[in-house]
Parts: sequence; C-alpha cells; structure tokens
Amino acid sequence: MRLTLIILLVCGPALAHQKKEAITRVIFNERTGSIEVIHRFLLHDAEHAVKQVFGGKADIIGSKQTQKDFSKYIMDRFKMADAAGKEFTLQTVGYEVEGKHIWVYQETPIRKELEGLQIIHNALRDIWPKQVNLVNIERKKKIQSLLFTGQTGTLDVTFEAAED
Amino acid sequence: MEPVYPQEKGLTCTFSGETGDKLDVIKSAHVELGVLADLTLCFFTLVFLRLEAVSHFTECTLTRISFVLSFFIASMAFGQSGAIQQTKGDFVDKFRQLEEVYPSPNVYRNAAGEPGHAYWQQKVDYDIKVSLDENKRHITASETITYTNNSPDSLRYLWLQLDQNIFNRESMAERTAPYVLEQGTPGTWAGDSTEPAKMSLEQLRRQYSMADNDYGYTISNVRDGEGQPLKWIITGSDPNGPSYTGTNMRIDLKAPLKPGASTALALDWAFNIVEENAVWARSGYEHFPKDGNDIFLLAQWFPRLHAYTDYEAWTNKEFLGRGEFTLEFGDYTMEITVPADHIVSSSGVLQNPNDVLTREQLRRLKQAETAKRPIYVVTPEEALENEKEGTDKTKTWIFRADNVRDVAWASSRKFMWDAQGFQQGGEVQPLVMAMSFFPKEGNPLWEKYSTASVIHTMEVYSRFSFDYPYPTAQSVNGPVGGMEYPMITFNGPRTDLREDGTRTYSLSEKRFLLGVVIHEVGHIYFPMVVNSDERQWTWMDEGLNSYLDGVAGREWDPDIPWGVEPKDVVDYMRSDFQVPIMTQSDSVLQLGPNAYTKPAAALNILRETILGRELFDFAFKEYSRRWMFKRPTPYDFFRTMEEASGVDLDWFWRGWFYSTDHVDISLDRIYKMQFDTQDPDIDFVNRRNESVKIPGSPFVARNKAAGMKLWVEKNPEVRDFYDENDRYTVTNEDRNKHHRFLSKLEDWEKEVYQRAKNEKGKHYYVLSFSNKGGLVMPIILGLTYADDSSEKHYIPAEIWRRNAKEVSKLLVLDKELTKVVVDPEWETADTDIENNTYPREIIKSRLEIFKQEDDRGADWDRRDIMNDVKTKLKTVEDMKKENDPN
Repeated sequence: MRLTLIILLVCGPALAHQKKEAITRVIFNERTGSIEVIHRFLLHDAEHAVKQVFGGKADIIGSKQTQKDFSKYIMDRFKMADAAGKEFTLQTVGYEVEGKHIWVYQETPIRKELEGLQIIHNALRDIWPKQVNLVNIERKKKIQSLLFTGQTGTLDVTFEAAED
Repeated sequence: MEPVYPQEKGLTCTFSGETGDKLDVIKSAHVELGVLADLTLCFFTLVFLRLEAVSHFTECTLTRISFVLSFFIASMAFGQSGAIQQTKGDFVDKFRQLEEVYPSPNVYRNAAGEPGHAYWQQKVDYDIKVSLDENKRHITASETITYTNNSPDSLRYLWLQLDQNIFNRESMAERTAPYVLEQGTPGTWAGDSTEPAKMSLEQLRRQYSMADNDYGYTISNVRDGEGQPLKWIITGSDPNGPSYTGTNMRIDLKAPLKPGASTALALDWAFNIVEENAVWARSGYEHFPKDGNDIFLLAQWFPRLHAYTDYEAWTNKEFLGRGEFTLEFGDYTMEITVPADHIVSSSGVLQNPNDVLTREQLRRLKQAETAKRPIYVVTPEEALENEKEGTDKTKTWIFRADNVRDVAWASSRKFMWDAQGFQQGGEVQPLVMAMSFFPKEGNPLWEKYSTASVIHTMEVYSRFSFDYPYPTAQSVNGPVGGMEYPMITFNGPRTDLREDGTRTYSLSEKRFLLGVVIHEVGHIYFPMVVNSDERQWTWMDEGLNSYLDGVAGREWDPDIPWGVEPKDVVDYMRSDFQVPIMTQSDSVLQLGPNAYTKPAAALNILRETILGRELFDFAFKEYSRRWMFKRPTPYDFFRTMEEASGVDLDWFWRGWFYSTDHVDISLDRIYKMQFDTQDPDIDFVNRRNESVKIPGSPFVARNKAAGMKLWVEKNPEVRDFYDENDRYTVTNEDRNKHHRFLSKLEDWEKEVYQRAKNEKGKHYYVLSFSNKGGLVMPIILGLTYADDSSEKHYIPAEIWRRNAKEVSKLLVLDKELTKVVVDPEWETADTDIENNTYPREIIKSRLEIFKQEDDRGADWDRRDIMNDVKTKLKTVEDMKKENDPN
C-alpha cells in the first residue's frame, strides 16, 4: 500500500471555495509522436492565485494578459526530465478557459527508449503549501500517478524495458 | 458411544451420548461438503445436539465445541477479504452483498437503514452569556449546560471540546505542523540542493500573530448545578508539558449520571479572537484599516460537549483542523453583549428586538416578511454612517435557537442588513426569514444575490429532502470564505473598488457568491439537521451537499457551469494514488476529489443513469426524512437508498465507495451472425455470394490486363459439365440430405426452424465487452444503423455478475448496424473512450483538438463588462501617442 498514515495533514476544513488541487496529464501520444502535457486548474483557484501573484487587479477570466501570465507561471514551475535527469524542453502550445477550468498545454517529442521520467510540479505550491498536484503519466495503456504535496520535490517513474 | 468424524479435513467434532441416529445422518453428509460447510454443519449440529442432550457432553468436548464455535465466528468476521479471496481461480464477486462488511444492524440502527426502535441520542442545552471587547478583540463568557443522558449507560464523566485551543502555541496541531504546509501556514518552501528554503510574508505574519497573542481558552469556575466545584482536566499535547493546551476536556461528575437522568454544570471562559487573515481559521476578526472597524465572526467559540454515540461512545479525536465536528442537538439561549452600534447576526431568533432595534428597523423587518425582493433593515447609508462612529456603550442581544447542534454569530458596525421572507408554507416552518449581513465591500453583488440565493437554496433543497425546519437562514460576509452553522453561514466574496469610486465585480466573483451561498446554506440540511459525523466521514455531508448544490445551481442558470459531471472525476479515478471514499477523514490525502467530487459524481450517476430520477429522489428523501435531527452513519445511507428504491446497489457502493476501481468498459468485437438453414438452395447461394468478397488474385488480374488469353478462352468449343456448374451447384443429393435432417425434427423443433428460416429483416449481433477498469457499470450502447438512424440501448450492470472481466451480449435488431458506441453521452465516468467505439475511430487528444481550433480563448461572457463599459474611448491617434509619446 503506497499510502501510509502521514501525519502531514493536507487540505483545510470543509470549505466550499478553493479546492487547491490540480491535475496534470502527461500523455504519450504514439499517433502524433509527441508527449502532451495538459494542466487543468479550477478557475476559482486560479483566480485567487493570480490575485496573490500578480496583484489585486489581475483578472484571470477577463484578461488575456493575465491568462498568459498565469500559463507562464505554471510552466515555469513544471519540469520534466528523463531518467538520467536530462531536462526536456517543453514547447508552449497554449491555454484556454473552458467551463470551470483553465487549461494550459505543453508538448515535446517522444524520445525512443525512455527509461523513465523525473518530474517537478511546484505550480501554486509556493503560494499555498496546501496545494496538491496530481500527475497522471499515461503511456502505452498504463497509468502511473505522482502526487505532489507537502515537502515533495522531485518524483520519478520508471518504464519497463519490455514495453519498448 | 463416541462417534468420531473422519479426520481427513483436520476438524473433528466429537460427541458423547446416545443420540446415535442423528449423528449417523450428519456423518454421511459430512464427507460431501467443503470445509466451511463442515464448520457450519458442526456448529449447527452442536447447537442442536447440545440443546437435546446437554447432560451427555463431557468437559473435554465442550472445549472442542467452543474452539469450533470461535473459529466459525472468526471466519465470518474477516468479511469481505476473507470471503472473497480465493485460492483457486480468480473469480471476483462484484455483486457480493455488503452485509458482511457493514456493522450489524441493531436496535439503534436497523437493517432497513432506519433509526431502530431503541434509537437514542443525548440532548445538551446551553445558556450562554458572552461579552465582546472590541478594542481588545477579546471574549469573556459563561455558560450553564444541561446534559440529558438518553443512553442506556451510566456516565461518570463528560467530555467537552475546546476548539479554540487549536490556536494555542503548544497545541497538538501547532506542535505537529510540519515546516511546509498545513492550515494557516502559507508560503513556506523546504528548499533543495539548488534552491534555498523560503518563507513568505504570509507565513511570517502568522508566526508573529501567534507570538504576539495568547490564543486558546482560559477556563475557570467549573461547577455543578448547585455551584459546587467539579474536578476537570484538559488533555495536553505534551503529557509532561502545560496542561491546558489540548482540545479535549474531561469533567468528573459527583455521582454517575444514570440513563434517562439530567445534570447541570457551568463554567466561565475567555479567549482572544484570532485575526482570521493572519492565522487562517473558520472564525476570527478582520480589520479594515480605512475605516478602522472590524468584522467579528464567532464560531467554535464556547466549550461544548463531545458526542456520545451508540457506535463509538465518546468521540475523542483531538481537533487538528482538518476533520470537523461531531455534535449533539439541544436548545440554546445566548445573551450577546456588544458595542451599542454593532449589528449582530446569530443562529436563532432574536428575543428582545425592542431593546436592540429601532422602530424603523422593526417596521422594515415586518415588511420584509411578505416582500418580493430583499428589503434593507439597515440601509447602506445607515451602515456607512455607523462606520464613522464608535461608542463606549453596550447592548445585549438575546437569541434563542431550538433543536440545533451548534451556534455561531457575527457582529460589526459595518454591516448593512437585508431580509426577505420565504413563504415556505406547510406545517413545519411556514415562514423562514432569509437575511444577509455584509459591509459595503460586498456590494453591489451582495444586495442583488445573497438573500435571493439563500431562498433559492431552500426552495430546491426542500424538494429533495424536507421543509427547512428553522425560523431563519442567514448569509454573513466576513473574512472566512465559506462555512456553515445552523441558521447562519459565513461567505467570503468581495467586490473591487475602482478609481472612480464605484465598486464592480467579475462574473467569476458572482459565480463564487452564488456557489458558496448555495453550498453553505445547503449544509444547514446536511449535516446541521441530518447530523452525520464529520470527523469520521467528510463525504457524508460534503459529497451529498456537492451533489445537491449542483442541482440547485443548474436550476438557477445552467449557463454557469455547475455540478459534477462524471467526466470531471475521471482523471482522479484513474490515478494509481487514491484511497476509497470510505476512509476516515484525517487519512485522506486529496480531500477535495475524494470527499466532494467523487461522491457527488457517484450520486449524480446513481440518479441520472442507474436508478432514474423518480426512484432516486424518493429514496434520498426517505433517507433525509428518517435521519432528520438524528445521527446517521454511512451504512444507514447505503441501506436506506437500497431498500427505498427497491434496487440492489451493493455493487455500486462497493465499486464507488469501498474500492479505488475506475470505469473502463471496452467494446472489443462485434460478430454478425447469419442463420445457417441447412437448406442447400439457400445456403449454397449465400456461400457463393460471400465468396466474391474475397479479393481476386493480383496475378490473374495482371495477366488479364496484359491481354493474355486463357486456354479455356482460346478453346471455347471444349467444354464440360464443370465449366457450366461451379462448386456451389445444388444437387438432389444435397437436397436429400436436407430432407433427411428435416424428417428427424420434432414438431416444436420444426416450428422454430420454420420461423427462423422465414424470418426476413432480423439482424443478429454478438457484442463482446471487457471490463478493464474493474468498476462494473451498466453498458449503455449508442447504436447507429445503415439508414443513419440511431438509438440508445441500456444494459444494467448485473450483466457482469457471472464474469466481471468479460461478457458478450446478443442483440437482435431490425436494421443493419454500422457503428456502436459504449456510453455515448459520457454518463458512466469511463476513463478511456478510445475503446468504446466499434469500429475503432481515431479519438483526437484534447491537445490535438486545441491546436486545430482557431477561435480559442474567446471568452465573451467572462469580462468585467460592468467596469469596461465605463472606459473612456481612445482614438487611433490617442493610441499612437501612447505607443510613442514623441
């Protein structure tokens, strides 16, 4: 069982508003040959974040500039490297607001013979230590998840050689 | 005589006595059964025989019996894991009934999921006098508690909760807060080899606030109803440290409190109110430097009894900030003394309006009872004037709240106050006063929407549960983002001050207000009235409330994205880092998805897809009605939903609430079947037609294209029988075979055969599915036909009961199928839609679609248009000048 009773208690009381959790999918799209990185944040969380990071006038919904700044802020805090620690350059694809969420998109070509990934995901964790970022790495019909919370710095996954 | 059973299974039951005949019968049955059955047989046999021939059992035998008995009972107690884990094969019983996992039904909570005939709960009444010192931000108070013991047990001591002690410097929460994260500790970073450790100004502010102020209760004068002192002790976070730092306090009674009896106690206390923005809490004061005033929100502000329950006795988990509260119902009277120009909002009904309100305010309140829109009881102008003053005088507001589990209140001279009567009708509470209290920093948003959404919430929630049972429902603006108490909620949205002095807000802030008011007022139903144990089961109030607030939100305006769609929970459910919903609150790592989103999505699916609205709403209402003003556990909810809807749902609770399986149903293959009539005149023709579908040989085609002539073409006069008749030619030999077949059929077989042979226009398909995610769900099919028409076909989840991994289904259709999609409308939270379509289609990823779309990011309805319309128009010349001032 991966989860043990951790004394670090994440998350505050049962408040309705900011949920302080985000989900990132790292998808190995064999068809297009690229690793797609899709970040999803609750618009409500993002709205409070930009006010703290960029000042009270920032408006995540109405201002394209704020959305762009937010995307850059997220992308600066997400890093991906191969098993040896060689960092990937992630291309900025874009961002969009849809429904309750704001999405930020990045991509990089699939590397052959990838033994694993190292990931750092600090988005929003420097303003809210309660922030929890879940990363699902989806490769060849298998999913491995990483949870960034508390003092977590870098997390990694390994891929079985047999699959390549 | 001492018959001994065969030894082969390693278990023996020995009996002595003269009941030979019965034993012989059992002995023969024994050899055929499995081990568990043996035990069962032994057990029942022993009981039966024991009753009949007790005097014949030797002491030695009795020992053996008790061993067998205890083994039998032990194997039952392993429940799910013991019963399902197989040593042979890998059959998984997804439909196994959950009774072996639930606690046993008893006289307090029965098998129907209802309060049992001997259900009890304690009653605790409070009489509180409290005084607010505005300048010192200090509370002084005293209370008399009347505790009625309705349990069947005698109580020698009572446990109280001291929630304010969480803010004591030495509390368990403080001592165990790690450097990074935890409530009220924003902005710290542990650092690593490349980056230094950091701490934000917010974190420093909290530290300074904790250092400068002594938070936590000072308790004194603990006494009984006669004024005699009582012994008491507070648990500390360090057993050898200061003794007042824990959140649990035991008061020892002079004499045991017998079942059915009441006792009174009293105590005094005081504490410094925390600054909510600095320390982060569910209550506290907020200071407004511009006008120099505070808003005070008081919650968890008085020592109150822990719950004493039939399933746990005293709840005694230390308050660490995350798991919330478990409380008893009772009647409260509060005398709240505040500066004379403060407006007070509180749980309960104001008992002395003539002492604290002006005649004008009273008149407006009365008018509000039948108003169509909120009416100001304290207008913005009056509130603004009030802000400027300040006073040394005080007033005492008296409130009474009956049958509540908690009380909270707020006080400020900044408040404006509006009200509107909700004419609920019915017998329970025909008139409910909906009211909002907010400073100017909340307008114009609050005056438009706060009280209106309070009423909307009651209108919707009451249809799904019960009439709102209290005289008031209030929404108060302060530093807390969103929190709920009986009859009063604290909500955080604010508006922005513009340079021209007006206040505006974005659409998102508006949505925030609507959402948070609906959600918090909704909580007055769950858990304030349906009193679930929040410290144990966060999902029982948050999950149920999140489902209902989506219903209420979509009834307000479906254009605003509300509610929890199944697709919203897919990424969480497919991650390999989860705990089941049925996990105690403090052990859940991602409380949001686990306790809010996933249960709300599950309930939506149960309602829309599995039970249908009529059955679900009936069952949900039954649950609400049964447990109104009582304390339900998860098993009461599960049992009630099943037996009120009449649908077996154990597979659903097991899959969604007890496991971390996700939904991924794959449509692997479709076979088309054709009837083989055994009649050569039909079948041989069919075979010939099918044979032309096999591609011809490229060799032959190229020869032909090159103009080469075959021997048979060059010599057309040389022909024989086989040149004229191909392999599919039908002869009487074939026909005779067929007639011989027909002659052997019985009459009913002939009838069925004739019908099948003559049937035209029926298409037989076998669809093969596999369950890749583990969670069994109904299979919903979107069928597309050759004539471009389509329809939906619903297969209940029970199709998975024999084989939870793979299943096939025969469909007999009137039209030819061209495409089948599993779960076409995304109702089941299926995590992989690529394997849902047959024939397979390329499903573009979200990122691919995004790259394709040109018109992305056009968020027409998201601007703060209220503000933008006031922008001064700039000409092109103006812009040019701005770009280049020279």
